[in-house]
Amino acid sequence: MSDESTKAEFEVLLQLADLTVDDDELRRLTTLHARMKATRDRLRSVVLGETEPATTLVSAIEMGPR
Amino acid sequence: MNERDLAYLQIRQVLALLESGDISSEEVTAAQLARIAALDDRLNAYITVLHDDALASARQADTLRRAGERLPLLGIPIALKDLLATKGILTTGGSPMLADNVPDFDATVTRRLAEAGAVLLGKTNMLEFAYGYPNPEFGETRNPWNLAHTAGGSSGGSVAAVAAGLAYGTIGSDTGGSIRSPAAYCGVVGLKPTYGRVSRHGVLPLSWSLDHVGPLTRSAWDAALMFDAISGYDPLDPASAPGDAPPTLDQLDEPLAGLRIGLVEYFFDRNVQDSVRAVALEGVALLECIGAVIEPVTIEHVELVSPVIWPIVQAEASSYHAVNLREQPEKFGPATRENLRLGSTLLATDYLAAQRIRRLIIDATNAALANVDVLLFPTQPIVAPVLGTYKMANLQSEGILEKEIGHTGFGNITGHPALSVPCGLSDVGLPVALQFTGKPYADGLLLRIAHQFEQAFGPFARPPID
Repeated sequence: MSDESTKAEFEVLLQLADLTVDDDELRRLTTLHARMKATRDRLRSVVLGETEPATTLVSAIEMGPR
Repeated sequence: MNERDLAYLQIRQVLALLESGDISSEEVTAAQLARIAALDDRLNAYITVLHDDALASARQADTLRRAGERLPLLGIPIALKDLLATKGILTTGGSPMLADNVPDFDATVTRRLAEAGAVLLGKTNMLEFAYGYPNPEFGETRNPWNLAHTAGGSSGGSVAAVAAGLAYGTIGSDTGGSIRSPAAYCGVVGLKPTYGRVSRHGVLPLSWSLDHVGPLTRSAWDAALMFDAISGYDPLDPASAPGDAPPTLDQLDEPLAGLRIGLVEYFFDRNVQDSVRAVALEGVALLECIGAVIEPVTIEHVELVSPVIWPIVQAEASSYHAVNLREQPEKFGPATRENLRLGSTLLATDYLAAQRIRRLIIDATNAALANVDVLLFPTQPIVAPVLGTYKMANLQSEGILEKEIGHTGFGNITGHPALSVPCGLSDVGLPVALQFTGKPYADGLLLRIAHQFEQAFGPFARPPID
């Protein structure tokens, strides 16, 4: 994805979150957003093929016999 | 006893002096307040100091003791991270957003410590809303071992206060390592209890599925005393673990012979400074000397701790702060604001992918703990960074927070209890610490191991702050 399309994508996400930022902040946030996407892709590759459902808050704290 | 020696006593020793009548709580509290006045300009550990209220509370403790009352922390001066609600006392969360916030109630931990007889000295400095960055208006807490270095965060004020003898014990919170990381950097004991064991009611949340509250002290015995005072079921915290928390203090001297410790090799390698590794391995050798059996352990997916924890923290924190982020963003510090904005743009599927991998890491951790009693690795791969390290994200490279959270965030993701105990000084004279991770609700075992490790290690050095 090009820098411009990444920026455009991020602007849409900001709008959906009802947030406005100035141009300098937008440049920084777009760069950080691109880094987050790389992390997201890494996580997606791990869960690919996992058949267990998402952890719920309850199952996150359920850790066996007390 | 001179004032410096008095300031560095452990809670157990102060209790003995109070019990014998050799000193009063009022005298101990006055000495602590004088030390705060003398040193805190350099450390920046406190946001609020309660001079008159602390002395009044100490006098009341002395009256109770003379009347035969024997509460576990009666007359002991302590401090709280400034995100625990304190009735009638400013509670800022380290942010101008809450510059005028005076709660009309006590957090459950605040109340339990008061019921145990503790004297509240004040509220300690912290990274803004415990997120990982100091707000410029509050500034960073300096490390008592070297004032050019940070105390770490986010409970840096609580840790520096204990390390420098400005409180006998404090309370911190820990979402990705905020108790254990600064504890390691400043050479004190920090316990992140099992998730649900200590109430978060009245504690400003950062990320509620990862947040924990726990004690910071100069010994494991003191940590056990404070933990016993604050732990146990609380109906006001929806994640509170049901049932009584068994006392830990009376287990501390039970023998450790045959204890199986799993050395997590990945965490002895990942980003670990040579000097940190060398000091940590000396600690491992000492554990063998007191009867522990060390064996290498691998845990599947632990390399994903940092990538997994960030989306969870970002999404949950941005949800909590959503209204203020839209309506008064200028009141957040720039780095906190930036992260809250990033978190607001995460997709639900990314958050859930992280939660799904979290489940895999929990399962892998439980599998590893089926064969050993506890897991062991350096609390942090590095010693305390220089001041100014916690700042706006570097756009070109991984930041210090990612390095830190990769080690300590493990315990937050799984919810298992984790304890940091100092084990020596690095080649640059800064503390290094070992971290023990136990099975769910094995908080007492961690305190027991740390206590006996301390007995074998001997007294830990004092920082050169005065």
